[in-house]
Amino acid sequence: MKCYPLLQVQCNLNKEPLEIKYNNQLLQVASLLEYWQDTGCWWDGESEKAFYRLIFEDQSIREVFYDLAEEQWYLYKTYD
Amino acid sequence: MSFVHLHCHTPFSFLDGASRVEDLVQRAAELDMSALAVTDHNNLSAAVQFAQAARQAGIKAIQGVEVSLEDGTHLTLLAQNNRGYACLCKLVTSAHINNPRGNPMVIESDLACLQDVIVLSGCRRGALARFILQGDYHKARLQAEYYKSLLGPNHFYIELQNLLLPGDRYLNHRLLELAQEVELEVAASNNVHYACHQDYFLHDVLCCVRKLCNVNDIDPERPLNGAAYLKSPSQMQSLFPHCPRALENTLRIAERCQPLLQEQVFHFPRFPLPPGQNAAAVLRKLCWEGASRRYKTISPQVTTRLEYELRIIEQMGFPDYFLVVWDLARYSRQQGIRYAGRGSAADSLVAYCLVITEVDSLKRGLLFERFMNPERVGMPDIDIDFESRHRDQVIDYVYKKYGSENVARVATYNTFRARSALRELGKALGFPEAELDPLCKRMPFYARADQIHALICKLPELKDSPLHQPRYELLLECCDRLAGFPRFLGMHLGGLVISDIPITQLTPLQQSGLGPVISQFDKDDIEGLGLVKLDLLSLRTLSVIQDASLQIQQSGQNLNYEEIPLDDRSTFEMINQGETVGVFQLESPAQRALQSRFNASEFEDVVASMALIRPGPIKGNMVDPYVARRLGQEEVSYMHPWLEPILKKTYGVVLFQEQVIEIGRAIAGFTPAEADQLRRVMTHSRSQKLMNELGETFVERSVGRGIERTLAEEIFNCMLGYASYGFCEAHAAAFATTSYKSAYLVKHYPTEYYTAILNHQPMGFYPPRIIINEARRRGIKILPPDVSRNGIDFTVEGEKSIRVGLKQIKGLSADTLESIMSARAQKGYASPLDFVIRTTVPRDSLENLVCCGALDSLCANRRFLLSQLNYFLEKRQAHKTGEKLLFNEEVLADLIDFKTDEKLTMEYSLLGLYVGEHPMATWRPLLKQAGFKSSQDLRQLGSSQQIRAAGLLLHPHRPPTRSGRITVFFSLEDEYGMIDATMFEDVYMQYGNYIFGPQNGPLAVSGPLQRRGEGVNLIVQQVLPLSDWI
Repeated sequence: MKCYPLLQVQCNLNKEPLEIKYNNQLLQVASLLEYWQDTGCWWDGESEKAFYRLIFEDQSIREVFYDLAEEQWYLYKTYD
Repeated sequence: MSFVHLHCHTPFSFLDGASRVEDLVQRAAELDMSALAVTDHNNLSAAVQFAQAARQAGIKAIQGVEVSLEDGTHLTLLAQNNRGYACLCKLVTSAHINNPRGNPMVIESDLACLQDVIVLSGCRRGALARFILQGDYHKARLQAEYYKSLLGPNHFYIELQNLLLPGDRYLNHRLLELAQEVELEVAASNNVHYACHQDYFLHDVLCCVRKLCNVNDIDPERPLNGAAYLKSPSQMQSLFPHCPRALENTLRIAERCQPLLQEQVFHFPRFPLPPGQNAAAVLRKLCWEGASRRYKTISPQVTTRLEYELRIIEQMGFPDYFLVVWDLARYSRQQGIRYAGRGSAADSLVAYCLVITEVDSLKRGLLFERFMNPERVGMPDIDIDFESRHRDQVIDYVYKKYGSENVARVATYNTFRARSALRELGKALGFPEAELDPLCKRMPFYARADQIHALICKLPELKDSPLHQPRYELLLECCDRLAGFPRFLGMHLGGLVISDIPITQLTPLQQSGLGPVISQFDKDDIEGLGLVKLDLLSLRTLSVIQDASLQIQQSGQNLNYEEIPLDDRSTFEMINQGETVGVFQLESPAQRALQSRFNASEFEDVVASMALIRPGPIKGNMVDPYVARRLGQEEVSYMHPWLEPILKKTYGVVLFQEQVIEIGRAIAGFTPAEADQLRRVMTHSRSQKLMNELGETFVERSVGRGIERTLAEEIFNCMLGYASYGFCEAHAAAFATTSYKSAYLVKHYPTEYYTAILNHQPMGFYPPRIIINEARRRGIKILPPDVSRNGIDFTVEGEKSIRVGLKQIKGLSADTLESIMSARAQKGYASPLDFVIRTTVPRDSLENLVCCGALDSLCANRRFLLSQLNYFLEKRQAHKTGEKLLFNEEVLADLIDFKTDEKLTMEYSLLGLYVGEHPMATWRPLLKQAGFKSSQDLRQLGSSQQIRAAGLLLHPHRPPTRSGRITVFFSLEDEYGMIDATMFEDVYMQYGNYIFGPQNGPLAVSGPLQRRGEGVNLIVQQVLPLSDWI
């Protein structure tokens, strides 16, 4: 199973990310582009995840996910 | 803020819905929802169960359907009332009937015919959503406007779903925009496929089964997440925070829909009568005419009983129904089709007078209330067996007489059972087929999918099953959870409904796999629509009786089947010897063992036999006391004098369902309806709670009538032992008539009867080789198939010979058989070469014919014939084309033929029976030397004598027992007949693998012999393959 970088994330009341801390960088979320959930390979014991595609104030786009079992945030994808 | 779910799938969205109807309803009730809509894919099969569950839960059931259109898009349809429901039925029918089976499609323009139906735009597969996701908003708008004009703005809603999928936010944003622009209302739904979030994995597994992929495969139809469950109103609110109107509208829609299928409105068939005649009057006339024919003089008892039944029939509105059935019986007689009414209909004197049944219910003291009860609102259910080959002709008659628009075949729900669940769910979970196949085959065929875990712990042959391993845990859980889920609709073999209104107003129709059009409801649910069912069943025994009777008459012997005496001594003697192979309902080992103890001497004994070897009496420990009392070995006693008139004919033992009703009435003073409920709970219900409640009522009422409490409890407990399916006396009597008469034919005309049985395979308890063996044992000669002599079927030759039919030979097609017969009809075959040239039998079939001896009369050396086949075939070709062969027939001098045992092996593999010597005969010298006894020897031996025996294993089975302990019954076949054996649980645990595992040749058993009456039974203590023993 691929390892994803752990994140520290601040959320609003709707549990949507407001800012993320990654590589000692603090990134402010400009807006939530997309949200979805994915149960993954549940038959292999993989836990359910909630995904967020975010555009940040620096115009970068990243996908982060929240592991519902571990209750941890991870970085999934960075768009070039 | 509240909300109701208007888009839900039950298991009748085959291989898609992952929660049972009751679970969905219960969850909706737990969430305080006032209504729920069920919208399965292209069918309404859940409608009746859904209505019943919703009524019990106190929520409104909204009937709906999700249809597929020609362009592959979906729409959600909800019926507002009965007219709307009828529209859905017709639309779904049209979608199925006008398209290839399994691919129903609605024509968009047909939606214009919908009345009182509310339409939602559907899920992502709806046209609007699809166009938007394709980036074509303009097309989505055109489509929305089209639906609006077609259906009306009050009947079309844009459906919003937020299943937490990528694109859902965008999609819903644009759909809302669309709704505003086109001025349409919106309604939120959650495309529910299961009741709770944690059930999502079942949905995914079912999708894999449906898509024929496994969980490791990617398929766009597989769910991405577990969001499609029955969410609470607050959860739905959080999904649509900016659109409360979408949630509110679900309540408005629900208010506009009436609950349907709540009150039973009957749709009895109308029997066509000339103007001015009414069904009740015609029925009366026919009954009295029938009574005059049945009885020489009509006694006051006949009059009273007939009047009583006719009054109830008229009161309940069923005269037409009886006329329909009378007419079918009449048609069958006119066509020369043998039939026999069975089941509780034989409780009715009306049915007897109308010649629907052959049981005189008055003479037998049978209760009409068992069949029809004025206090129980329900349908009568008349079952009729017809000759198997003519049953479809009778069904065609029904369609022609009542019109195909008013008649439908009933469906069955083909469900997951242990084997199918292991196989299909296993494949979906990624197990290779080669791994699953042996696991499935070792599972008992009767096992349910939710019994697998218990069985692998209990059955000795499964104790070492790999299914115990942790890697199968998920598979077994899926099997357990999905047990009984319907996979597809099949056709009930005999169930038919006739309606007074076009049937598509009540049920959608679709094509079955077997061809005929079926309703989408099974035999239980279809009654919920107010339709009354007929069961027109197919019984091969009736065809056997017909053929045997004709053969007997053609041979110049005098036989009238209808006048067979019911007191033929030699027939009873044969029955008492347990020599009943081929006898209807009396041929199983359990029945044969019973008969050999029973000393049957009159017809009533045969009636009792029908009822005794059933789960009810076996578990209730009624069999031994009954037999002992019957033989005068035990005193007949009654727990209370009021029980004597009820139980006298069964020697104080509760044997029939009618007796339960009578005891309820006589002891506790139950009304007919209460007594019948007691009967129903005792014979069908699995509810301990209900049983306890009834028990308390029974005892209290009995005490109130002066019966001591402890005695009342004892009587009830005695009946409780019967709490499994027991036999209806009327049904037993109906079956006993056929059974006894078939025994008479076996006794007096075995050649003709066994020939007929062989021609109607598969049927009965035993395969053809046992029938042949039994015929041989009775001195009938078995003649091999012969292309020069016999026909396709088994035939009687001479006085006491049966010629094996050509159709018994493996691999011969209908064309091949026809070719053989038609060529021979012109002129007999002079030689093997002549045979090959004049027929079109292909090579592989020729080999089979040679190897099984069918050409022996032309040339006895089979090895030689095989060596000549190439030459024969080339000669045939040359004969066709006029070519000359370059070489002549090759004669291989001194080609030694196959040995006898080689020939026997070939014959058996091609015919499935032993024409020549039985294989056990080849073992016999060795067996004799080793002290083994044959089935013939056993009759001379005493009880308790320790013996060894051997034979081919036949019919191992494990019927339910009172103690719950496993007892195995099986037979061993040798050249002289059969040895019946019993194996108790401790021995079964040790040797069960030899009985239920893979078979490799004959088995050897040892143990003491048990004599009971005329019969012998071996109590098995040890089992081994014979090859290991000797």
